[in-house]
Order: sequence, then structure tokens, then C-alpha cells
Amino acid sequence: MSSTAIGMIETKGFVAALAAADAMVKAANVTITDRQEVGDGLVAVVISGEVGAVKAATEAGAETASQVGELVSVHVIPRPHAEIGTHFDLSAK
Amino acid sequence: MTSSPDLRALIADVVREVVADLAGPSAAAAPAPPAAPVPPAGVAGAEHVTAPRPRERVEAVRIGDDADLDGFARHLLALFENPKNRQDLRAGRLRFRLEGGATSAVPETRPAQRIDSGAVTERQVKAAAEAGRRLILGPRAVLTPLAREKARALGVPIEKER
Repeated sequence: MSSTAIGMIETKGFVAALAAADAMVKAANVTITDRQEVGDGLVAVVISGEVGAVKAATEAGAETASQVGELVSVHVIPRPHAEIGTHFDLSAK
Repeated sequence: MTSSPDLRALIADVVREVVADLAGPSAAAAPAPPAAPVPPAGVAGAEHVTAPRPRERVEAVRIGDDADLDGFARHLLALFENPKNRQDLRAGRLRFRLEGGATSAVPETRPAQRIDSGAVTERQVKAAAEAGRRLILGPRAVLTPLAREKARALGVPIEKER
């Protein structure tokens, strides 16, 4: 895994997730690495980048998501273990 | 009746010898231990060997919750099993000091600001810190990682309702 941190934002509804993703990549130097739709309207966007950039991006994305739709959860993993890359698709495409 | 003073003198001699033996090693090691002078009353001599140790012990006790309190009570019971500890406790030579428990006893007096839903960002935490308020988050409010760090740095108490 090249980047040092991953950030996740989960929203209820696609529009809020899209708005959050847009806000995140505009706010800091991060890349979107994954989008998960688990059903029931829950959409999660995963980003990766430097720790500070990921924290700033999730901050902006969470604020946007809660304005547009419903924010479910926000989380940042500063140094993800290499093991999770074998079971979760987190590498930048 | 005539043998009573002799008996007393004999016992006094024996006790004196025993006390001298007991005090001997410590007297050799330390120049002036309190137990070195032979007690004049022979009968009470044996107690005098153990008693004169006015060193005070202070044990640090941390009581944060019920389990700590229970553990301390059991520790106290265990201390009471030993007669020496019991005497020390009664005489105040063994005392206890509360460690680190003062923070939990301080009542929270800041006015609360309730946030029911949506993102709780760093900016809101900063505003709460400037206004001297604490934050209460509803079940659907989401605290961002930066806001959590800021709250810790500024000392803003955040309660989360489930």
C-alpha cells in the first residue's frame, strides 16, 4: 500500500456520498480508492493519502454529506496494516 | 513466696539475653538502633523488640470505580490478618493516599450544547471551547476525527448518547 492513511465516509443515499467524495478530493491531496454500496441506501467512499490530507478531506466531506443528505459514519485509519489490503480492496486503481 | 524474686530475676536475665541476641545483629549493622538499650522491666522486654519502629508507611491507593473500592477493602482485610500491620494501621503509622482520583470527583458545571444529527466538525468544537460549553451528541451525530483531536486538545468534554 503506497499511501499512509485511509479515510472512510458512509452516507445514506447516493447523492450525499457523491457530494462528499467531490468535497474530499477538492479539499486535500487525496485519491478515491473505493466505493461500496451495501444496500439499504448505504454508500461508503474510501480515500487514501497522507494522514493530514486524509483527515482534512474527511472533515470537509463529512460536513458536505451532512448538509446534502444523511451522514452515517466517518473514520480515518492513519496507518492501515498490510494484512487488510489482502481482504479489502483498498489499493488505488 | 521466697522464690518469686529469684524467678523474676531469672526471667529478667533470660529476657535480657534474648533481647541482646535479637538486637545484636542490628546493633552491629546500625550504630544507634532504638532497640539496643536493654529494657529495665524484664517482662515487657519481648514486646519492646518489635514495637519501636516509628517509620511511617504511606500506600498510594487508586479508586476510580466500584471494582477499585472492592479491591481496596479486600486489601485492607488482608492487611488486618497480620498483627503488626493491624497495630500500624491503628497507630496511624500505615496510612493511605488517594492517587489520581481527584479528576473524576470534579462535577461538570459547563453549560451543555446538544447536537442531535449531522457532522460535528472541528469548527463546532472550537466554537464550543470558546463559549466554554460541553458537547452532548445525539445517537445520529457523527464526530469527525479532526474534531475529536481538537476536543482533546482544547479540553472540551464530549458525551455521546446511545
